[in-house]
Amino acid sequence: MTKAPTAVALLALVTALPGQSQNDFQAVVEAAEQARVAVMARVAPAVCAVMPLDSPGGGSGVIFDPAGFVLTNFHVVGGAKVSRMKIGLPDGELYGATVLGVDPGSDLAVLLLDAPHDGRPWPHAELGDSEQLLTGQQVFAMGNPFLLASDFQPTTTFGIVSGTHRYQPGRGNRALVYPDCIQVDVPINPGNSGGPLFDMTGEVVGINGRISIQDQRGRVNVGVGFAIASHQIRNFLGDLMAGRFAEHGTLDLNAWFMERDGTGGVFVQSIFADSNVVAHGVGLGTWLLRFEGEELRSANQLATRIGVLPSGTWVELAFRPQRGDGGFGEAVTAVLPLRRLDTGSSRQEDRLASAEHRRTALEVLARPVGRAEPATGWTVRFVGPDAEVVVRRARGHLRIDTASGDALVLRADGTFHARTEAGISRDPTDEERAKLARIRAANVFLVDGPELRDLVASGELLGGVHAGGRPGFRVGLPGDGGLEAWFDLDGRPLGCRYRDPVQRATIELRADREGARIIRDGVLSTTWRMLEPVPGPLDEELFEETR
Amino acid sequence: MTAFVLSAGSATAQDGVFAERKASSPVEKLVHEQLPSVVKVHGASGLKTIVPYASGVIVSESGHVLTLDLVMVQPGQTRVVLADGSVHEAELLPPEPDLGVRLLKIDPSRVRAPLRPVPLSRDVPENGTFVVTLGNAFRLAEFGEKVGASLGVVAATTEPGLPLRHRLADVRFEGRLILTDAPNNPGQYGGGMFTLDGRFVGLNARVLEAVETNTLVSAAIPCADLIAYVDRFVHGKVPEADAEEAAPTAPGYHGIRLFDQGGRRSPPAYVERIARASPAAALGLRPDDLIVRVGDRSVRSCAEFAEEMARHGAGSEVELTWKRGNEVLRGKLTLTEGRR
Repeated sequence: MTKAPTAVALLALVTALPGQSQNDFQAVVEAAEQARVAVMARVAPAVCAVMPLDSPGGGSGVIFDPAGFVLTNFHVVGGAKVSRMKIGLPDGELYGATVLGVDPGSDLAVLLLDAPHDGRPWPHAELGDSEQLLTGQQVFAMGNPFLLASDFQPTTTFGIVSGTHRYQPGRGNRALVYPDCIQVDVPINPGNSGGPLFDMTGEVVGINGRISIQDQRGRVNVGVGFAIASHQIRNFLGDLMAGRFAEHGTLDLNAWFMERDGTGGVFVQSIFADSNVVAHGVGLGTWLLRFEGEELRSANQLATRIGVLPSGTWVELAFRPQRGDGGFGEAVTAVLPLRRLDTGSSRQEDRLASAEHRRTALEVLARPVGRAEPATGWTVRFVGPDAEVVVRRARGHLRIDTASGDALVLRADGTFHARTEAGISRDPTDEERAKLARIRAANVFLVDGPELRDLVASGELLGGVHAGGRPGFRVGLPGDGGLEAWFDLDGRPLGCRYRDPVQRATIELRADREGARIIRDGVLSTTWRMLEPVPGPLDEELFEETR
Repeated sequence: MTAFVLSAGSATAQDGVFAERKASSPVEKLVHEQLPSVVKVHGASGLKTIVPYASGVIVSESGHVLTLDLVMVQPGQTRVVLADGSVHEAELLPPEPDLGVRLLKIDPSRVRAPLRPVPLSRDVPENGTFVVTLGNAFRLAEFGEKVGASLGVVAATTEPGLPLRHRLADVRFEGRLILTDAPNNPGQYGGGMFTLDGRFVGLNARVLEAVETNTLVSAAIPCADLIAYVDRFVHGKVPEADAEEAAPTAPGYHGIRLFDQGGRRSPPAYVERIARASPAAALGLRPDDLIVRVGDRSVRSCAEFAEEMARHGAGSEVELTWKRGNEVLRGKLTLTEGRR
């Protein structure tokens, strides 16, 4: 990401530029300052003061979508019971907003501003990528510290990233944990809570939420502030915008870092007996090697990586179990879903948002869906121990070549036919017909372009999902069979879910790095998996009834 | 296991716990280049008011780490955590009492990759120079996690002997201080202050209060003032100027004997006896008086009294403050050659 304002701004920090005159240097500094002023002026209209309806106090927030979605801290909205807030914008006006989704576990909330002002889009700032942040990089915060601005003109403060991926434990029973936050020397003070941290391109890289304090100086900025990384926010955006209570995942274990045989490692320090990793052979003293393919080098790293994932996310954990003699067994890789972390806050009504709110949220989330140029056809292979199933789709037709050699075809006009390996036509069973219809309706890996947009438009937003290292959202589709289509935030297919009437099981296809995992009634198929979908033209002949 | 390879010139894909993009701006590059030289120091804990962690800077390939001489730095209980996350027992070298710094030494044969010492700069940066301070503020980083960075400018460099306080107690600090607006916090101290061209110009001081203004100052001790100390203990060099100082002027005679029983802690400076016809007798000191100040420094113990008085030779005049019952008395003592 090379962006001009960053480059210019950073140049200004060079203390001595050899061969350049004082005038040149001054010009560089002034250009950097102008660029900085311009970026700040551009994003300021999106920065909100967030206040309760009838009590003093308040915090900050940022509009991250022109439809009027606002990010702030959970501790600013006070609790899921409060559903209405006042929002002051730098235009000097006060607007109403509804609290949609909340994340008490790590202190986030999403609000939706009431009907747009005169039909115009709301000023907004884009969510950036906090994974690109580096210690030393310039950032700035905006918000309403000490509620200074009665006209809602935000206060701007400026500094550098002091550290990335900081784990900050929470308060009480695992609530308000900051599992993956950005440490900044930007002054953050009471009232800044919920406000945006921007990089120098004006993208929101974090939500400012807490500060370290030092007893000699009181409860104000001491140069150590923390922002919730945008990377983490994206992982819960689907749930928060759908009006859900976001739930974090856990492996139900604590680990610590120890030096052992000259190298350091992360070892299980305590574990719940009913943790679902126990069944895979993890116990006390187990040496944890990798999480989602990333080598583990500190206990905080594991807590950080797990803490930002929603419950139900399937993860890969590589470890070496401890043997009776104190040594370690062979490395094992387990694939399992994260369980729900109990944050102690009593679970509120699942959906805080009305159907209309959720429709708006779906329109926003699904904006990038179906943008890609449609392919002429899709082929998806499911591979098993010594067989494979091939599913093809083109022009609304669907064909499945089963492991037993049968071919089942559902044509765009709704007619079904089947033929055996020997090429003999036979009538498909009712279950087979239903299965094909459901796969055609829900399997997003086989659809693209306008068809995909129609699919989403017919559905309703259910919540968030995380698969293949990518955050996304779930769309419930009409019809029976519990159909769900999942997309990531860039509109790419992430997975699907349907009830398979032939296998009499609920099937989930969850994207992973090389295709998709198959989850059957909540159990990972260890023998079958889906390979990366392949686009390409498919002959009409494939879908025609045997002559 | 992947080795923790730290290359000096170019940014590696991963030299910390998390993979990161390459450094590009001057501050990012400085942080990337200097982080391997900054260590976490963990020491004795106990009292709630004693912060058991700090930072340090590697100053020799043979394992010398420069840090502050803090209460937590105790023999057998001080550990150094290198940037690669490895933990090392540290041996304590004699402190530099006037500047409150101390060298630690770790065993260089036990480190995985060669240590990355950073030379102490002889320059004191000019006011307005950009500086980055590195250190483990509030112990946010553990093991191989990167310590924090803050950016500021040099506000001023003080004359030696700025009266300072830490909480309620006066702090004895004889040297100069580089004042900065880069935030300094518990844990950050002992870490390094660097200019953007990579010079190690200061060792982060504790967060102290200026007595005259009652304001907390973020400051660093100029490396220029620490070179002689580091040279002596790392390279065995005795500076020439030191050779003269080696024969210090003998302390003057005052005639006060304190009630100084042995014990783990030096007791408050109560007078046990005053020698007849001594300077103290001339001043009117009496047994049971509690001496609380020597000059402009408070003394809380017999040891501190002795230490203060040892700095004044015969013929010098020293102001004493003492308590007698509820009265606070003050007077000037003229030290003599005395009889010893």
